[in-house]
Amino acid sequence: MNDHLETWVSTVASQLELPARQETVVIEELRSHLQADFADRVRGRTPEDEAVRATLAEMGDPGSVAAELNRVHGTEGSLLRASLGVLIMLLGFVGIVAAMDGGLVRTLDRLAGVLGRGRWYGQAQSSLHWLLESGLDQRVLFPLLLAGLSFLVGYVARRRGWKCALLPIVGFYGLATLAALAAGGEARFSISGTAEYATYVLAVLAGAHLGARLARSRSPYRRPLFALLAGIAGWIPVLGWMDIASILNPASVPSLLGILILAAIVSLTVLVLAVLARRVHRARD
Amino acid sequence: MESDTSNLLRGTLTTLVLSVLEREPLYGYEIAKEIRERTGGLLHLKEGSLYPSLHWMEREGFLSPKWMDAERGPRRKYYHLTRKGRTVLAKRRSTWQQFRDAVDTIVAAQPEGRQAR
Repeated sequence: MNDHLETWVSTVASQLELPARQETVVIEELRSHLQADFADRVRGRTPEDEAVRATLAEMGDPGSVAAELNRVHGTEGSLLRASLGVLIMLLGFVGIVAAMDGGLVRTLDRLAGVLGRGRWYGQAQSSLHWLLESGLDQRVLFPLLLAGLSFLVGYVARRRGWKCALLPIVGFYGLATLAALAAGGEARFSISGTAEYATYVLAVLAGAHLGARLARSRSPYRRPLFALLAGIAGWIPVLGWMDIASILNPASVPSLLGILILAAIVSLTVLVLAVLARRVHRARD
Repeated sequence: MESDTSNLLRGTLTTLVLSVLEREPLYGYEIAKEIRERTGGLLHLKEGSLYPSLHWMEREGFLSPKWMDAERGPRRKYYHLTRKGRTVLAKRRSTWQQFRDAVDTIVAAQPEGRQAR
């Protein structure tokens, strides 16, 4: 593309405050416009210099264009919503800590012990429920945990596309369903159970919405907020996986293996969060 | 004159874009060109200002984008009118007609009473 046109595009790009992926698409669209306009003029036998001048004049001031695009894509009140997200996550975190009676060693002992206890859906309460019930009411805490997980999914979804986010959701529920079927769990219908699951669904939707909002935020607090939330939510897949592990192999998971699984899951979670944080970092810079 | 039409254009850009896209999906440059050509150059918008509007309409769900390869040059983002967009267009069209009629009754009326005196 002509250098002057490219400079115009670069000026817009330098002033855009959008997530990297979105910015790439916007720039591609503007570039496509400039090229089409320029080519049209040259085809109409306008000299190149004049065609460039006219094309740029049509597009207007790059600063104004960037400012308008930032305004349209910016999220007013995103910080407020992000703060709500933090509040929800903190509540969830406090709940987890309370449920585990505090203390890392004691917590690990308890987690390892739970893996060997042989609790599973359909026959007894799952390990996750057991953990939660020892602290706070599961009807409050479990939705908060779900909201936290969904928050991350929503955040990733906004930055990477909804199709990308659907994979872990479908994968998680698919695996959980298969595991429940394999464990011989039976489905029951009750009004209180339905209400409980409706609460879970709402928690998932609210969490995903808040995550998506934060991902679009242009606030300078976004990165530290995400790091904080990701750190807190890092525990959620650990607990969720323990739940699945207890379903898959309820009676025979020894404590040592439980600890190894836990260590592997924590490492994986940290790795995933590091990749996410890097993406966020690159997106901002 | 140009600033007069620019001000009027700003308030009606959404309706114009939706109307243009009612016939067929177009990409940004074509939308601007279509508006300019159909109005004989009277409505001449700064093309850079078109994109924030298009993106806003996309966010609101009036338009749905689809990237398509061009014969030459980079791929292009074509905007399709969604069902919601059609509904909004119908409402805006009706509002615009009422508004235009109302303005006409004032602006286009000849001051007959004053002449009669």
